[in-house]
Amino acid sequence: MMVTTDRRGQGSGSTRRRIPSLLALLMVLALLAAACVGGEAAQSTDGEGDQAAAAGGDEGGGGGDVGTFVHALGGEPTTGVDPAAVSAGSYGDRVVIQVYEFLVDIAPDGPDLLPMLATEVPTQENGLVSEDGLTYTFPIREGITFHDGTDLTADDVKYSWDRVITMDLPEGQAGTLTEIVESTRVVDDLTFEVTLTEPAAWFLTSVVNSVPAAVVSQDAVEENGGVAAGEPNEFMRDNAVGTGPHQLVSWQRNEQMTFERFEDYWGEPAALDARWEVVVDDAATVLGLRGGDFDLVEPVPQFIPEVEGDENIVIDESGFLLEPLHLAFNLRIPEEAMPEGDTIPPDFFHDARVRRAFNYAFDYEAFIQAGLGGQGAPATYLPPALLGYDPDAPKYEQDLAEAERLFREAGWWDEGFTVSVLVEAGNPTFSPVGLILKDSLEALNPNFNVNVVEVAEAQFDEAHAQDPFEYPMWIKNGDPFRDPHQLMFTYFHPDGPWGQTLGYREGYEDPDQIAELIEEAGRSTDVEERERLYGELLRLLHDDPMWIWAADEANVQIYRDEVQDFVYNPLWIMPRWRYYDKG
Amino acid sequence: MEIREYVVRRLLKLPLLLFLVSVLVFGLSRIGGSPIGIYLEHDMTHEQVVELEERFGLDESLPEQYVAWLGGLFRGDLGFSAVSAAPVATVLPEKLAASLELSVLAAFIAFGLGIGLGTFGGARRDRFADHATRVIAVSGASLPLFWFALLVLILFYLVLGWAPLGRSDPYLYGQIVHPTGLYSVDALLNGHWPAFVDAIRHLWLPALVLGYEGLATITRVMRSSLVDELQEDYVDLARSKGLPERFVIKRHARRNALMPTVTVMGVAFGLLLQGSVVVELIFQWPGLGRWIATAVLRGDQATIMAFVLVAAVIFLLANLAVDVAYAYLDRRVVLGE
Repeated sequence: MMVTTDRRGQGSGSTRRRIPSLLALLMVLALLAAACVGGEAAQSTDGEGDQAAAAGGDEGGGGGDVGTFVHALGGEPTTGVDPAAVSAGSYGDRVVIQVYEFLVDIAPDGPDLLPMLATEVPTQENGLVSEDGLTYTFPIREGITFHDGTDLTADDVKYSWDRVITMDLPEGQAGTLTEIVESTRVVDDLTFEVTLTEPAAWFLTSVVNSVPAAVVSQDAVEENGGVAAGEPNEFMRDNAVGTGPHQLVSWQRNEQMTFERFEDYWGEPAALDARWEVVVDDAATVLGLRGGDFDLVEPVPQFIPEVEGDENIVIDESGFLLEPLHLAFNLRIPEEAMPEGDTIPPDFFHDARVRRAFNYAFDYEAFIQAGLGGQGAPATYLPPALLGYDPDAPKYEQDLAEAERLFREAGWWDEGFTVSVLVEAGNPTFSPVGLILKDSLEALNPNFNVNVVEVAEAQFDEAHAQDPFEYPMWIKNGDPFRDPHQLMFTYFHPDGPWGQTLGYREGYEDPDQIAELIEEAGRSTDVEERERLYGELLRLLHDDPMWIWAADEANVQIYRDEVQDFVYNPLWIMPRWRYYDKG
Repeated sequence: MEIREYVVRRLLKLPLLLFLVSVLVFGLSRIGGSPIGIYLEHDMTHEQVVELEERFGLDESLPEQYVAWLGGLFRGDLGFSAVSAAPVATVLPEKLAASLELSVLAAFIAFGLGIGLGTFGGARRDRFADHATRVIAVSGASLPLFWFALLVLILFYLVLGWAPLGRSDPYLYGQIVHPTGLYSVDALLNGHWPAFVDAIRHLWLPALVLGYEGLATITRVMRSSLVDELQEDYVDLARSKGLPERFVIKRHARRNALMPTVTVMGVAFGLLLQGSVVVELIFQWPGLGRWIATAVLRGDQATIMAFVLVAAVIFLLANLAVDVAYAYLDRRVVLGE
């Protein structure tokens, strides 16, 4: 039987099967040929953009005729690209600043403001800020067009701001506006006016130039779903209709976003088209950079040793980022929710001596070397790019004798404790803070135990939204504030967001004094007065610390040497493609 | 039972299996608590969290959430992917197509080449050719995929410049329409030769790397079962009839040696799905594997659940294909009861 079956199979099969094998062989040959031809084509040109131009320039699809600046980043906007829906410091923020514009913006070379959609930066001297500091008038530049071809008027500006406030999305940053804006008004077609609830020295840098204040095309929004309170706009989530030098052309999720130069841009046009490559894997990032596929990568400290010595790659280090790495102490831990195994009482961190002892125990140098690849410096509570930064302000350094003295004084030295710290898993700079704290404390005294609890981002953010917060400590990097007021209010004010959640009133020796100083510095329009107040705050907060400020992370940018005119101001949040060219 | 009837019966059982899978997927995803975390930012207030829970229907009871999710599946709504700011159902087909393109070619390499090499080695037992095949087989099974992929990429991308990163040149990709989502196929359908060349240029190396592990497994199994078959009496009979050796192998022994190999193929296909995560990450391939890696690392439940469902369907179909292949290879196999 068996043989018969086989024969039947063979009889008709031998010729039948030969054809597919032949076909397969032909296909393999074709593939090889294609691969070789393709390989040559790739080698004869510089980058994929150029290759595209060579292959299809005659078809004139926009962008075929200029080069493309390729920026590799570790993710993509997770709530879309709508200025009303992107979160502070997120990837969405970083798209918004390329395609949308603000009334005023920060210049490449410093903290100075440039007029953008407005023709002048309002000051009391030029009469555009009222005597009482409450009303700001913005003359709008004439002849600006949106990516959809409509003209910019003061109506668009008012519409953009009001829209964010009306939508008030939880994931967005409406609070930046509502915190200080009393009302907005269109004076005439080209004049926009804002009234504040109180004078605010930080209004221009931190509100007018903030992502939710980006100006969108009113027509585009109205034609595509309009505005609804509490509901995201799907069109604006996926599309960008701004006035910026680049316009968003396509977004293939988890792959890339492509941007073209905006032909009708009102100012100096961008030199190159741009592409945002989503690169999840660090090894792929380094390979792509070395292979010339990426012009600029999102800097991760661990990359540096891998690309050092490559003559085609520039490692540019200038200044510091606005996002200091920090560890928070919780003064309001609900007793029933204390992590399993933790032996500290809920009021453990009420004692300033304990908080100072932790600060003295932490090995800052080890963190800078191991966690940041040497690219960082001991921090004060204000990053160097901000007003009020004082290089002589007191900083913590590891001092084990002092830590021991304080732990003894507070009564914990002999008894010891076990305490947990929550950290987001997989982040190359957050976990080292926890591990080094663990190492520092456990080496200091064998009775001290630190559990570093690493959880996925989703769980970390969920834990963070709890009130009260259910861990004694957590680690994160700061939000990129551009004025010291927001930073001070958010992180140190006893009634600020963290002050309330973490219970600072229970811990500060004089919470009202700190509250008053922060508020006064925020109101004052006198720069020197503000600097003096922040100087005083830095000293007070150092002696009564609510955080371990592990380090200021250096602003390291890693890019190919073909990139010309590279400039990056840490106050920008992210490099701005409009300024870059390639040789 | 006829093969066709059997396939139809098995396919009819698929919805029931999928329903069970859906209960399992939903249940498992909720064991770790609410999936709300991924939609949150670290500085949100309680009110804002509640607002988002309402938006994503996570404020309801678990059974209600399950019914809503299942209902969504029927309407083609798989929830909102928080890692990509888009409905899962919008992104999934693109990613699936990219992964299929890669996996199918990898499977061809693994199965086709594996059977070929295994036969080649088995028929030349203990000769040089056999040892050479075994080197391929052992190395494929023992090299960690991420390391191997990186080495290959350093050689072919960085040093030689023969293979690019990613799946396509964005410009060429934008030049054609994409009826199937499979770039190489679409390029052919468009009659766009440069795009087809581009597709193959991007495809060949990751497919080879992805297929390598499966290739190694299949080569090993094929070789050893062919060696066994060649010692059987029917082979002696065939030889004694005066059949040339290559006919003995091709027409008699190989077919029977395929039986265990086919069993392994089902497993090898699973390896492909697994391996695609690593290969896609390293080669910048914008497929399901890379997307799911992002989703898992960040805890995006909607995306993970959709992926598990798709993977379950693929596995069920692959198993069905293996069973059918048995019946085809050996008519003595009785399908069904």
